Amino acid sequence: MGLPAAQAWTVASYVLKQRLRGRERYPLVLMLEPVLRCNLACAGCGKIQYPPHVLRRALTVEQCLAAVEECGAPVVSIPGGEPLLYPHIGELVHELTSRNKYVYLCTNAIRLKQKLEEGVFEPSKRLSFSVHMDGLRAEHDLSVCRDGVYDIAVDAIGEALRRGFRVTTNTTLFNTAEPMRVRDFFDAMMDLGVEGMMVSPGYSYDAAPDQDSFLEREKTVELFSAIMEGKPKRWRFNQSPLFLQFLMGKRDYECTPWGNPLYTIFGWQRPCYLLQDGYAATFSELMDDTQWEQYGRSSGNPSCQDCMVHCGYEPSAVHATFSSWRGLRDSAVATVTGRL
Amino acid sequence: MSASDGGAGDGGDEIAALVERAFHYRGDVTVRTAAGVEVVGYLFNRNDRGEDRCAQLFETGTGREVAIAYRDIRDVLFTGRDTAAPRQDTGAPGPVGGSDPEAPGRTATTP
Ligand code: SF4
Ligand code: SF4
Repeated sequence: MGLPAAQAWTVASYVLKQRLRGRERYPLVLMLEPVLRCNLACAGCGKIQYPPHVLRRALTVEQCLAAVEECGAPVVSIPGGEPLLYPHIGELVHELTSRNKYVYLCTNAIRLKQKLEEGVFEPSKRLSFSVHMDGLRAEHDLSVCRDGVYDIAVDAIGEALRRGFRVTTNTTLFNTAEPMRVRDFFDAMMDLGVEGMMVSPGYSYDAAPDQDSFLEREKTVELFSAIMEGKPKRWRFNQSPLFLQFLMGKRDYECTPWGNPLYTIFGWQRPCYLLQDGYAATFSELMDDTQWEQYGRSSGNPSCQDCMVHCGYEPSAVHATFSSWRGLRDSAVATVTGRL
Repeated sequence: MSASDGGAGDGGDEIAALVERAFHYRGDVTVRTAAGVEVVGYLFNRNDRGEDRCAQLFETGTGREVAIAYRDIRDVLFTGRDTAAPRQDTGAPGPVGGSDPEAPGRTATTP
């Protein structure tokens, strides 16, 4: 759909290599959080509620690179917190891209234009700014609890595109989302010229202030069907079409929590980006000592019952793509025709 | 709540339960040890399996990472503000306008 061929090839060959090696569990995307602090406080965010001395902490570039090396995933996503508040972000991104990693720098874009003007980043086919956009102006500013952020982000996206950077958007939809407004929003993002969009239902963070807006499974399916059914071909998504079909209720997957492991100032988070059941000191400890059977829908774990988020299910969709000819065919058909 | 509220019994399970609660608490805690030492910090992890059960903290002030064995813990006090609780002053949830500790005083509508 929206993934450049070179990146798709890198991911495909990595997955096939893992399968040929008979590796049962392998990471696809490393989520790397060098800082937890942010210059926003979105109502649906549970990542930033820590005492100030914790928010002041940051991973060193060496710690980040050691985690990347140990994990081995071909894609590194840098969420947060706000990564542009990390003082070494330029150096980190440079080191990662020169190690042939595909980097998604997830940002609310408040500081993006300034960083671009300062020359902190060089355009690269391996670097994409993944700009947090939760809807059109009214919905986005409401979601991030600050007026004017939508316009700042749109301006920064334009600046990044003008300078030759890859830009994608990442959108979290809550139960307040109105399908027609979301469709208008997707049109608006395509009009801006972004490479592709990423979308996921809201995470049910225990620590998030707004606990009433998270989507249950049935409502997720209802919402995503209403948004995606008959979608125009011009909408490009920077994610697996099978994952989008899963969100529409057309496929059923079990969660793959080890697919997008998270490394933060606390260590390797068990079991996933969403749940905080503890931290492992090393990646191999995370993989070997986590009781994976206690997670995912079929485990009966109540925290997993309504979850359909990308960090657990997108790796399942990618796995499904490469585990049968049918998966490969369905994915290829959706990519070529743009139909879900 | 602490182990000393309502009687600590032999302490083992109760300490484990307190550490578990502190692990899910989004504020600083004070850990009192058998040696009479008090460690104040953010309890970010615990290893509650096997022989070497321990709690890990980032100490407030020094920033040091400290590990304390469960067997050395006498009490855990929830002494810091719960940053995930609604704010008392505004009624607004969590930090207002950003969690960047270098940017205090920002409000939700001031970029
Ligand atoms: S969702 Fe992102 S932009 Fe919003 S407060 Fe959380 S880390 Fe910051
Ligand atoms: S189902 Fe969701 S909450 Fe449960 S392990 Fe998977 S990603 Fe995490």
